[in-house]
Amino acid sequence: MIRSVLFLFLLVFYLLPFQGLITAPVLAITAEEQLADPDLEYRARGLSKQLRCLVCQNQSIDDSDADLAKDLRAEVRAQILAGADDKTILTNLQERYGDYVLLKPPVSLATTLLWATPILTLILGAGLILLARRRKNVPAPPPDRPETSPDAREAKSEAQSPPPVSLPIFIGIGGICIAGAASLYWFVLGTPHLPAQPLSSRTAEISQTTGAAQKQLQARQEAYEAARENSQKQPENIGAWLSLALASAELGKTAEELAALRTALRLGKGDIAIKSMLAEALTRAADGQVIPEARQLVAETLQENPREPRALFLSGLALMDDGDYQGALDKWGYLVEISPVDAPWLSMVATNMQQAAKKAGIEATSLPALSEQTLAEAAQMSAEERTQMIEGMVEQLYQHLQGNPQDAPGWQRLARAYEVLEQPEQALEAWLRASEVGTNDLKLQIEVLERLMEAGRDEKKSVQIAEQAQAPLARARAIQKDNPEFLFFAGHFARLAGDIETAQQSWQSLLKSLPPESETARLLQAELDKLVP
Amino acid sequence: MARSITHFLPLILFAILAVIAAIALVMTLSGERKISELPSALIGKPVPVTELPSLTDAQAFVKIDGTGNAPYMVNFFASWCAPCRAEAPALAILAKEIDIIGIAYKDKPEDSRKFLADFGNPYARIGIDNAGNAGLDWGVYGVPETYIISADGIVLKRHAGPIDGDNLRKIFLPFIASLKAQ
Amino acid sequence: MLSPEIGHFCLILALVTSVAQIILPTLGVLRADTRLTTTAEGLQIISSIAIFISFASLLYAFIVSDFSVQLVASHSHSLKPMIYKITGSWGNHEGSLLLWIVILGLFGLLFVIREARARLKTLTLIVMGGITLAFLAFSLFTSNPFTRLSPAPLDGRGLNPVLQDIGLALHPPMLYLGYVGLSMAFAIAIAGLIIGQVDKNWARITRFWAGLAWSALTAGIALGSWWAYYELGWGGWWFWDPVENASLMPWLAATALLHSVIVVERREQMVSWTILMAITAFSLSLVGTFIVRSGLLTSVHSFASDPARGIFILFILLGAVGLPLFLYGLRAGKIGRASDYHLLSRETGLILNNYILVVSTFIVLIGTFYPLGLELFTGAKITVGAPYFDAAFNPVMGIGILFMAIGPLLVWRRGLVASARPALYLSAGGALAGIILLLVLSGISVAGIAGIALTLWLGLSIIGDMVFRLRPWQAGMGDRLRLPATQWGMWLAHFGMVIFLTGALASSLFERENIVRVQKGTTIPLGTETLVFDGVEARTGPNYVTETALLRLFDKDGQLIDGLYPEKRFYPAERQTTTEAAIRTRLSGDHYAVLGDGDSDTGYTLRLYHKPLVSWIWFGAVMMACGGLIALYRRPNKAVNPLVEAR
Repeated sequence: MIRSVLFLFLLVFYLLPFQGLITAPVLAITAEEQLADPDLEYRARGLSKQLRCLVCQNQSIDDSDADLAKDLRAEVRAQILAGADDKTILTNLQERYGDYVLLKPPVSLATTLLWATPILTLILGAGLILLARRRKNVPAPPPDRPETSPDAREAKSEAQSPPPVSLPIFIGIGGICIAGAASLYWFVLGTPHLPAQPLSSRTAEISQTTGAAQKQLQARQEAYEAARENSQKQPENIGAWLSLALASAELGKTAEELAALRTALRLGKGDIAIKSMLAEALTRAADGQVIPEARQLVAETLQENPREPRALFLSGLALMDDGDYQGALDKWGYLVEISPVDAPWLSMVATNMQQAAKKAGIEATSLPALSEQTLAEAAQMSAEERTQMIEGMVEQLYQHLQGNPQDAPGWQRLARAYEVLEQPEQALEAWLRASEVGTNDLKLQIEVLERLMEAGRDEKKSVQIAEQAQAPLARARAIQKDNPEFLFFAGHFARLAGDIETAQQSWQSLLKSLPPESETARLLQAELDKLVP
Repeated sequence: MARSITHFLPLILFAILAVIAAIALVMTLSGERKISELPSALIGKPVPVTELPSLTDAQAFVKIDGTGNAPYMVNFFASWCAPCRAEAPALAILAKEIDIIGIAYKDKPEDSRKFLADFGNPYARIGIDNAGNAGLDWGVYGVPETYIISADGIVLKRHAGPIDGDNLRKIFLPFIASLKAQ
Repeated sequence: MLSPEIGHFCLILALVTSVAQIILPTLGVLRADTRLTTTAEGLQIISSIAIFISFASLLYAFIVSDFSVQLVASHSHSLKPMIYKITGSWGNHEGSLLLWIVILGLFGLLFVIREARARLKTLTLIVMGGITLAFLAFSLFTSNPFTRLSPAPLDGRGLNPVLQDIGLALHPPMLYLGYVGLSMAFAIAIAGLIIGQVDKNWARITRFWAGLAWSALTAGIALGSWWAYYELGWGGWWFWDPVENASLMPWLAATALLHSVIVVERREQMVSWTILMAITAFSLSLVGTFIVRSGLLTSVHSFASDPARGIFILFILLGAVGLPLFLYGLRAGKIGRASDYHLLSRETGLILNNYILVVSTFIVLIGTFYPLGLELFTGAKITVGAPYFDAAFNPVMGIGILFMAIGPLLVWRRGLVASARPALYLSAGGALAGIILLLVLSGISVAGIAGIALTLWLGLSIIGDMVFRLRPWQAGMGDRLRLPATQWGMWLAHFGMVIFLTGALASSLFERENIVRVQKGTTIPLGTETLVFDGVEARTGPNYVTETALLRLFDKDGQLIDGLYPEKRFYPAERQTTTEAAIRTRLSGDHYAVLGDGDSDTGYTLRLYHKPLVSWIWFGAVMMACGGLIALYRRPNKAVNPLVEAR
């Protein structure tokens, strides 16, 4: 249902302008265009009837209301006023637009046959008639009639041979064969199971669906209002802006979505997750084209996390735009590689890869840079489907991880997905699982510690969190024990657990590695001072 | 005998027409023939001398004529034209190879500026053709259209419609490379 | 009740039946087994009925808005007026193809009922089976109208107001009656070619079906041109557009066929030529279909085209034209008799008729396809538009009209009818007087004067022929009125041509046009008449709102004649604007008004025309079609009329 609603949505936006073109009011020449002098105007009209509207289908510029036709009419009149004669005007336009602009093709080598045909066929025909008349004197052959006419023969044979099979049986067998063959075909290639569905029999279904659609729209509207209010109340809360972005996207309010994402990005100090979301929103807003700003965001995202799927997908799309199909294929290939086997975006990536492969393989094709399908799919990646995608992703990812608990990036993705779904506890659990599995990934451990720090802001949980942080801290220490970020977290969680001594130790060694005059150092010193009771 | 051959004349005529139709159909199907694409009448001729107010500098003019010391491109675009967005990435790549003069065709200057801010500005210079007169001189029948001009001011190539990745790799870049090699 | 699946099944049934319709009777003919040959009739009846049921179920799906049928979902809408729901079923590629097949089935059924059992009938039905099979396969394999959607969408997408038009709805069926009727003549021709016995009887059958097709084609083309006249909004009625040419070419060839088959019927001469014309006319109607649906040529009014379908039609063309032409090459020398007529004879007249018609068909053909061919071989693009056809086609047609006046005055074998001399003196005198008068009195172009003179020449010769043959001033006209229907039909059709020419010439030579931007209350001159613009008023239609211009038309004495209300319609649901011209049609000419853009401050743009006698164009075409139908009638007792048989 969501798909068909989206489809209707696309329809409204892509098809209607085109239909508008067909039915554009037909009013070729306007009063203002006409020349004051009726003789000159008469000439202009005559010339207009000789000139083709280049963007129309077989219309003269006199008949067409296309912009170009209007320009050409104005040009013809301007030249008439400038004193050019008819021939010069036609030649001038022919020089710019080619022979194509002339409705009466000029006599040239290329059009010899065209102009000669009427005369040639006239002469040839007359010749043939005369030739036929010369044969007139040939004596008429004797009437070529057989002794018995075929009909008579037929009648005779009917009389002679009595049918070996009786007629009813013959008809019966033939009928069964024909009906059987038709039925077989119908059962194999038709859709015999589908009943007729006249509109009158579907009132219940229709009212239900339209009701549901209305309800859904209303729900979205409400969600959007709530999100907007929330973001106004808490202008510093990233989550509020992100949910506003999501809610506006669902209602197709692209400009607001972009604004909300930009705000979130500013608040999140360049968080790559938001960056890639913004890049995607920009791409959607530009009808599937990865515009320079989006490219920049994608590049930044990938620099920080080369495995960010959304950014990977977009960078492939950008390469596709540039005609670097191999590059796009590589990017998407990598994306497929690092995605879990059941990632929901795989089918879309696969479709895109097929197109890229096709374009890379076929010479001199003239398909647009983005096929309609990609466009449609990119456009369909609205907030609606994103939520769905994430939900599906969580479900599938969870199943997948049950079977492959060693997949650290998988746990990481699951955790992020929970975050987007605003389920912090599940997210934290997934982060901890990731930390358990990815024992030698310092970046991962640091990321987990960041999340724990966030969670630990809730004072009721701080002790429990400090406990949970011990394992990741131990893993990070094992990898690089003088890592500044590790040292910071070690201190932080030690303080949270009430272990002032360890906290002081950690922070002091961190302080040593920092430039003494730096702002960070100053802040850390302040925190250190607070530690002393 | 001669008489019986004349009876095959209609078949021969039909065969000729059928072959033409078949070729046309196959070409249309394979995408080689584009019904809407027109060859330019300007190919091999000097550029139409064009002087337009500059989009970037209110005092200056952009002049296109036969003088120049390197090949360049002329690209007609407009903010209201959707395919012009589609060719923005290709133009950005081409701009590294060759000078592109943009002509904002029947477009409000402020709209053109916004368009360039959104989709990138690949142009060395940009002229404003508000009334579409330059378009008429060049035989433009729809934006975007792109022309490649030789150093001595001869129109070498015209491409109507957006430059997509294919055209870029298969037509433009090789063509420009061969121009530079000369 | 009438589920779309029943329609689908019946369409498949018809396909299988037509396979049988080819195989069984062919075996019968080869083995001289009448049980098998007679199956042709039964199978044709079954396949026709199956096709009718299939179409009925599609119609039903459109009527009840069954959006589980893809075609209905994409071309109909629950809010469409019922009449357009119905016509919408053939206002698209798949549906129109099915309509084509339905008419094929209809003709097949009528043929079975009408003609007496004979070898010619069996073979004709085999060929018909082949054509039906080809089109059924085309429909089922590339353009199935019964493709289903599951789940069914809630509403359709076909609410385009431009397509809700009665002229657009009616002219395709009419054209198809013509196109498909030609397939009947084609099938009979092929059958005759195979049997090798092309005689008077063959010609009588062929003439009936060709005449029927020709009349329908004439009406269909006229309807299409009428639609263009009032709907496209700039008052033209023929644009030499590829799609129009595609219908004109078979019409010209069918006209040639209709005339040459008379020679076969009366004299058993021009036999192979007539067969060639039958093949040509049908081939050109297939070519027309090919153009409209393949996307090879661009046109103002073609269906959404698809080159892949074009390939299929190309194969149909190869089979339906290539094979018969090959057969023709083999057999044409063996049929027919040498000619034995004098130079001054009805035969010569009809040969000249065919000569002109074939040459003009050729001109249209080359004009339509030349740009395509040139582009393929040289890459150059040119346009062949109306000015070319005006220069190439019209003069040839002028020669044709010259002959057209003389031909009917000739008798078979040798000589002139008794009324010929006075009739020709009358028409020559009239034409000369017309030329002199026009040269002295008006500034009309040479081409215009030639046109008028030719029209006078033709018209007066027909009137003269009638008057001097019937001699109303002498007693006993009742006897003389008992002419064969063919004679009356010919007079009517030929006079229809005169009426058509009069309309075409007058509307183009004496047209008055005024394009103005005016404020409320302005008086606008148009020729000798004036119009007063009373401003623009908003009106509300069933599903649209309008801006309606109020115009009052006054004659030269200032007497109010009528009001004209051109409007612009806005359909809010579809966000579309359409222009509706106001046309006041009278026998003396049309007043035609179109409202352009504007507002009450800057004034409104109005396009006003007076087109003298323009409706005579279509009136003439209707006369031609009626004449064609009348000529089909045969008196049960063939009383030989001494006047016609005069030697």
